[in-house]
This record gives sequence, structure tokens and C-alpha cells, in this order.
Amino acid sequence: MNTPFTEEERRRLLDAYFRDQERAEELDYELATMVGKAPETLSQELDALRQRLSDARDQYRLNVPVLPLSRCPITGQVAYHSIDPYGLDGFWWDNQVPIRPVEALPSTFIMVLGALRLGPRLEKTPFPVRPGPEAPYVVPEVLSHPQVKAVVSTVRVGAHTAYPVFYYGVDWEGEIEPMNNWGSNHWSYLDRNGDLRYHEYGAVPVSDDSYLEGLEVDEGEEEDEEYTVDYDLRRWVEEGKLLWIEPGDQTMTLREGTSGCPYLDLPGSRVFSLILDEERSDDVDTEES
Amino acid sequence: MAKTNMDDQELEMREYLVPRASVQPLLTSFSVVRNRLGEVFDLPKGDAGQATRWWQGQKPDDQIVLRQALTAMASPVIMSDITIMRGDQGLVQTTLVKESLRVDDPAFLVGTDQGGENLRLRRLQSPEVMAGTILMYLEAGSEPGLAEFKFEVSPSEFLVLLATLDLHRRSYLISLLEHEEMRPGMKLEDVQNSLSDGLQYPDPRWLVPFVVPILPEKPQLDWNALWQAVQSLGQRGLVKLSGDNKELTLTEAGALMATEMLRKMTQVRIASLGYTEDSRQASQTSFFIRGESLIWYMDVGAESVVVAAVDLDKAGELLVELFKPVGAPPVAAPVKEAPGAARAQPATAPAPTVQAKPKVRYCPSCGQPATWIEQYKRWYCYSCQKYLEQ
Repeated sequence: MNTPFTEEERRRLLDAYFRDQERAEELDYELATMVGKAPETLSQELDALRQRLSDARDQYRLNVPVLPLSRCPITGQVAYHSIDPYGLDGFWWDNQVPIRPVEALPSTFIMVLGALRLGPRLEKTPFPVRPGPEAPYVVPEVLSHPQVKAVVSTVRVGAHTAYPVFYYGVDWEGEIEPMNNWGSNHWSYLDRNGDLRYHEYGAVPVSDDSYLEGLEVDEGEEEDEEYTVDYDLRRWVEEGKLLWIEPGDQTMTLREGTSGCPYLDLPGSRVFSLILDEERSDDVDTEES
Repeated sequence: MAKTNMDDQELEMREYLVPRASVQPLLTSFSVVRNRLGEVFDLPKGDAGQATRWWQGQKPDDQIVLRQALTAMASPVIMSDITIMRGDQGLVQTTLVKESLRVDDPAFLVGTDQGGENLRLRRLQSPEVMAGTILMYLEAGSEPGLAEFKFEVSPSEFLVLLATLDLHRRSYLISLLEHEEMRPGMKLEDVQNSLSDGLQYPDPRWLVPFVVPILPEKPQLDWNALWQAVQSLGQRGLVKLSGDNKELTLTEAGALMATEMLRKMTQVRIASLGYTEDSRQASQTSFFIRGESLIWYMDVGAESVVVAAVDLDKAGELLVELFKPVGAPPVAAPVKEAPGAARAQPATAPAPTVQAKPKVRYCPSCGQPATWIEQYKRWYCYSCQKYLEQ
């Protein structure tokens, strides 16, 4: 397998994985419901399958593309972030157990959110995918911090068009609670000291608070920040808070101002998507902010 | 004489060995964005399959650092060639590259192994680590003294002065060997020979050969130029000509410098390439020499060289400034520029921390001034993104 994997290599890996996973589930059920002592061969087969599944996940993590997705307006650095650009059926997009490498990002990185305009067909995903709404948005509570800027860009994901929005800043810690990274149920990256920064169940937009379901909140525990979303990018671009990268620009050149900005008034649903098994649904609370 | 890179005792940090031939293929397969400065690294095309196999043999934790190093090499905002000579024994050569404009962000040291097959990479928490290391070498175990000493000379005068100091040192060593007293006077003819030797033999233990590699052009000083330089050095109070104009002696100021250079403990050469805030290419060349009791700083500009004795604190400040990026280089165009398209401007005005160098070679293809890349001893044209024929 190449690093990063090719589309064909990825397809083979995923097909084999899903096949093994299905067989493992069958065996698991069979063994759990079997009366009497289970044949040794079934247990051995299940063990072997589990090992293969684990190896496949490792292979995926090691070889998933890490692409230039953004550029920090403060450090000037290109931000390389992992992403599975071949489709939503890759483990990268698994909202519950996203398989991603440790991200090494500019020291100014705060978080990455995103949107995804759905293409003509959806992938068969055996796990929930939460790629955001179809149009890019910003989080005013974060972006209005005086030391924070965001950058919106474009990347193809299979038949879809994705819009990652990276937030960068200085002196923001203690004042901003980062939100779960795009499509993921946690926030993490490697800071400039080489230490892993990790936070699970961080703040999410109010229209995507399904993660709170079933969670017990301790009395007196500080509640997560309530963040809203703003799809009207014009004023943020005008204020110089939101910069943009021309779709297809391999140099990742930062651009400012509304003139020629292709991200204003983009079509698409303003409701967060939940994708599962080739079907899209609104992601729980669909309140507009 | 051992030619080495930083060893673990000098900089306590992990070193990564990367096959040079793997770098280009990895940059390509990782879709790494390159800028004009990153193209200065002269790397072979390499084989993609071999590069992938090498990469996959690295530990995942190492891959994180290696990926950062590769992107820093591809898109540096500053690139500093650093050469450190300690005493007359160890020569340390490395290149500091930094990808972020944020001053205290990490940087990488890029060197090559003895055979030139592998790059030796080290991650620095910030360029200040390198500045601190150089400062440690300059301190050399004993607190340097203080002296009010500062003068400015032309590049030609600077070279003649260094040739004189080399000659003085050579005469001193010969007098020791021959059990003779050292003659105070030096023949102008011998100064010229000292200069010629320095230009001919790249022995970094002597001042002229240590300095010459990062000068924009190998200087050719004829007798008249030498004579004029000596006259100017005389006017600046560094040397004194004999009545018959055939010999020179050092003045008190010149003798102080010469005595210092006799027992120099460390000499450091730093040539930084970077960009100004308005994306114009710029460079700065500096030397630090730890003499017997003083630290000498030499700032080589386009028209003049400033020589000054500095204390340790000042040396530290200067070093930090030398590694401080000012502006971002233009990104390397993924497709060839159309004829008449806007080109990168040559360095003209000095930035706050970088000075423009004279351009003495021009690209035969586009006519733009080329830049001397010390690391590869070649001229590079940023407009055409290629090295000039030698």
C-alpha cells in the first residue's frame, strides 16, 4: 500500500474490512448464542478476524492522506490535516470512532469545522457521518475574539464538495473552548511542544448537540459554551476575520475581501447532516441560529 | 580535521536520518506546498517506490516530526546556513529552516552526513535554542571582556584586513617554530600572498577562507586594489604604512584585533536567506569570532562591513535577530509562469533585520539577478527557479 493510499487501495481495504466486520459480527453472535461449548475453530476464526480488523484500521490511519487544507494567516504556514478525500465511507468520517493520525498543525491552530455539499449519490456508511451542513458557516462566539481569524477552503470528497474552516489565533486559550473537530466527536492535535492536546465532547454548535443525549452532567459542573452558527459569511470576510482560498489553488494562497469570493451565499442546506447507510437525515435539533 | 554535524552532546535532541533521494518523491506524494526559498535545496529526483518504502519503515511518532521537517524544508520563511569552527579542530555545518513567521515556533536543522547520501534533521523547539548553542560556543567557558571597538570598512578593505590578520598569525606561528622574534612589519607583497592563499585554499582555520564562501563573488583584488584598501585601513587607524610604502605595521587598534585572532576559540558564519514584509528576497551575512578575550561581530552588507566588539548579551540579541523571519516568500508556482507574468522582485531595500546583497551574476535565461547559495556553492535564479550553469 502506498502512503498516502490510492483510491483503489483504499477501496480494497474498506471492502475487505466491511466484509470481515460483517463476518465477525455473525461469529460473535453465533458464539454468544451457541448452546454448549463452542468449537475452537470458530473462536480462532473470530480472533483472526479481529486481528485483521485492527491491522486494517492501523493501515488506514497510517496511510490516510494528510493534505494541504488551509493556511494560517498568522504564521503563514500551510495547514496539513488528514482527510479521506475519496468518500464518506472511510473511517476518517466515522463520527463515533474516527480513525485519524495525530495532527501536527500550526501553533496557532484552534479548531477545524466544516461543511459538505452533498453530491448526487451517498456512500453506504455503516457508521454515522456528521460532515456539517451543506454551506460553510462560522461560529461568531469564536471568530469575534480579537486575536482569532478563520480560513475557508474547498476540498473534493468523492462526489461531494467539502468546505473546511480552520480557526487560528494567539492568546486564545482560557478564553475560547475549542469545539469538536470537523466530523469528529473530539478535538485533538499536537501542539508546538509535541504534546497531544485532546478534548472529548467539547463545545458543538447548538444545532448539533446530539452528543449530549445520554450524558449525565454532574451538578455544579461547568456547562459547555453555547455556540451558534452564522452562514452569512459576507460580513466576516469584509471585516477581515474570514479569509479564503480559491477552490483548486494548489499554492493555498490566502485571499481577503469579498471581491471574487466564491464562498458567499453558497447554495445547500443550512441544516447539519447525519449520513448513515446511503441516507441523509437532519442531525437532531435543526434550529437555525 | 573532522567535518561533523552537531553531535548529541552539543545539542541534546534527536537526530533523524533521511535519504536525500527520498525527499523530493515524498514532497510530491504528500502534496507538500513549496515556496521559492524551499527550492534552494538541491535535491535529487529520487525514486517514489524507494521513498515510500523508507517512509513506511519509520515509526509513526517519527513520521510526525519528519513530515514537519519536510514541510519546513519545502516552505521555509527563513533559511540560515550556519558554520561553526571551534578552535582549529571541529567544523560544524548545518542549515536552520523555519516554516512559521511566529518567532518562537519550532525550527529544523538540516545537515548532510559524511557521504552526502542522507540528510540529518533535528527539530529545535525554537531558533533561540540554536542561538543559545552558538552563544555557548562563543562564551567558550570564560566570560568575554568588553571593549569599545567599532569600525566600518568596504568589503575589499575587510578582506585585506583579514588577510593581514592571517599573515600576522602565520608570522607568529613561524616565529615560534623558528625560535625567532616576530618582526612587527609585514610586507605588502606578503599581504597579497596571504590573500591569494586564502582565496585559493579553502582551509577554514584561516580567516579569509572562512569568510570568502559566503561573499557574493570570489574577490579578485589586484595590486592597485590592495594598495587602495591598505591606504583606507591606514586612514581608519588600523594599520600604518612604512615610509617607503612597502611594509605595514599594525596600530594599537589593529594589534588588539590581531592578538585576539591569534588565539581565537570559536568562529561562526551565518548566512540567512529570507524575504521582506513585501515579499522581496533578502539576505544577511554575519560572522562572530570569539578571540582570546572579546567577541567580534562582523556584519557584511552590500557596500560595507561593520566590525565591532560585542558583549555576550549583545551577541545573543544579534543571533536571535538573525534567525527571525520578516516576511513570507512567494509560493512556488505549480505551473510555469506565462511570459511577461509578474516575477519575484530582486532584493533591493534592506528589511529591518536583513540586508540586501549586491547581485553580481545574472540569469542568462531571464536576465534577473541570481542569488549565491552558499550551501551548494551555486548561483540560483528565483525567477526561473533553477541553478545557473557553473
